[in-house]
Amino acid sequence: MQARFEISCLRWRAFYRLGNVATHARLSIRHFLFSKISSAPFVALRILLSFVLLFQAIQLSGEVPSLFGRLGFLQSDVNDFFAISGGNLALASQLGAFVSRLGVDDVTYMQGMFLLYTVSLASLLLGFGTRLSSISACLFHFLVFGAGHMSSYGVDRFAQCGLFFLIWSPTERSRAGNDKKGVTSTQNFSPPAMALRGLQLYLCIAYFGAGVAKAMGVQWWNGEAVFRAILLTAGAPYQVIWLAHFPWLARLSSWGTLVLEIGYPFFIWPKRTRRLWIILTLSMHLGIAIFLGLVSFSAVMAVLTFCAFGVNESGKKDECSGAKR
Amino acid sequence: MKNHLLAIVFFVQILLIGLGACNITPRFQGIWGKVFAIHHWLTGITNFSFYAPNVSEQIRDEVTIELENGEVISDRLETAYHSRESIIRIYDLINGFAFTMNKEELKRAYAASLAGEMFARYPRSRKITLKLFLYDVPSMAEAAKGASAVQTLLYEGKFARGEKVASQI
Repeated sequence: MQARFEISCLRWRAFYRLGNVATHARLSIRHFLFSKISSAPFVALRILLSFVLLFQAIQLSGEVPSLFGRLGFLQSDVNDFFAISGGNLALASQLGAFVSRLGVDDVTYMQGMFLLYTVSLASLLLGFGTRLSSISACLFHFLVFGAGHMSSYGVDRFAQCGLFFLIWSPTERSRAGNDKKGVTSTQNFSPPAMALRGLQLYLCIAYFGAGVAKAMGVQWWNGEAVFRAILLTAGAPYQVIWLAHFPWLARLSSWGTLVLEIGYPFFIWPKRTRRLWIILTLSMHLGIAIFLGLVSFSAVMAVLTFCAFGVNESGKKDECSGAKR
Repeated sequence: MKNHLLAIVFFVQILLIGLGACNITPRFQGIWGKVFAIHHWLTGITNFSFYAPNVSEQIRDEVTIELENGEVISDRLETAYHSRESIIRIYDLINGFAFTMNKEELKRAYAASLAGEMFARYPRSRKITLKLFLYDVPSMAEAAKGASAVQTLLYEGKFARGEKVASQI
């Protein structure tokens, strides 16, 4: 009888603890997603990302129909085959075909889309109608870069992601609407953290996934990957054949990349290691920009990491070092 | 209630990003397939496996153009593009040829598309020979001993304006 009573008590205690855990989890999620934060990360993301993408757009400006158009470098049938077989959609290309039936030629259509994209970016950079600008930048980015499935690479997916999260980031106007005094200064503007958390988790998954995928290849363990990447990447400015005489340096760089990428979700969150990991990540992207020549890609990645984790979201000083005031 | 819904949507999105990173993309037919495809592109979901698991060989090109007056000139697909950003994308397009290797018809269409670019660039051209090479660098140990990069002919196609001519290896 006594034993049964004790078991029953233990069960109730376990249920109670479970209930506590559930409550604690619910509160943690609420705090994680809906706590009020500073608008600074969103403002930084809006300005820096649109600046980098405008810089990229200037580089591509003369060659858009050729790179992404239906009658460009790769003809639409071939491009669409890969888009559809790769689980993507040839929607952007199909839209081009539809417009051409209305009498608008492919070059005009692509240039028009690209012009609207750059206008959206400029508007985003200057802060005109930020919500509308971010929606149109995201949409036109998809319509331009999504049309050229085979000519798009990593930077396009990350830029698309950045623009997507900008749509959900609150604007000053939403705050002004809630403010009884109608004050529109951004200093006290405290949006919920959800959009920022989405971007932060996206980056953690992206870096971790990239690191694990690399760790499965033997070249990232013996250092050949860095040597090959520098020599084989198109447009890489330096032919660093001398690296073959310093295999330890290539090995160190490869291992460093693995540690950085796999360790990203584990070291970017704790305040003690956050600043170090941001610096290391930005350094890696600087190296990619210099030695592989992937300037836009590196700039977009650096902007995303800096804005997601490097800009103080609490509005207090020295958040990264843990010295709260 | 609104917060609960937002939290659910948030975690579903994170789950999809995680699945994308694991190269698991839910495939649906019909309208849901299209909705999913648009959603994945619009939100930047991909498998993130850049330069992974290994850094593979690259495809390089060489084009010989025969003009109407009999003059023969050599060129490359990427020479008409000037910005680094465009050149990276052109090399991506050329490297895309690797995905056609087991499909003869697709290979032919892909090569014809590349040749078409050169016909457009040289309006007075009559015939074009497109050669694609597999370009690879030696290992660090071999490079330290003086070995240099090697090119192996992967594809050769001849194209004439207005007719379907091809000889492949």
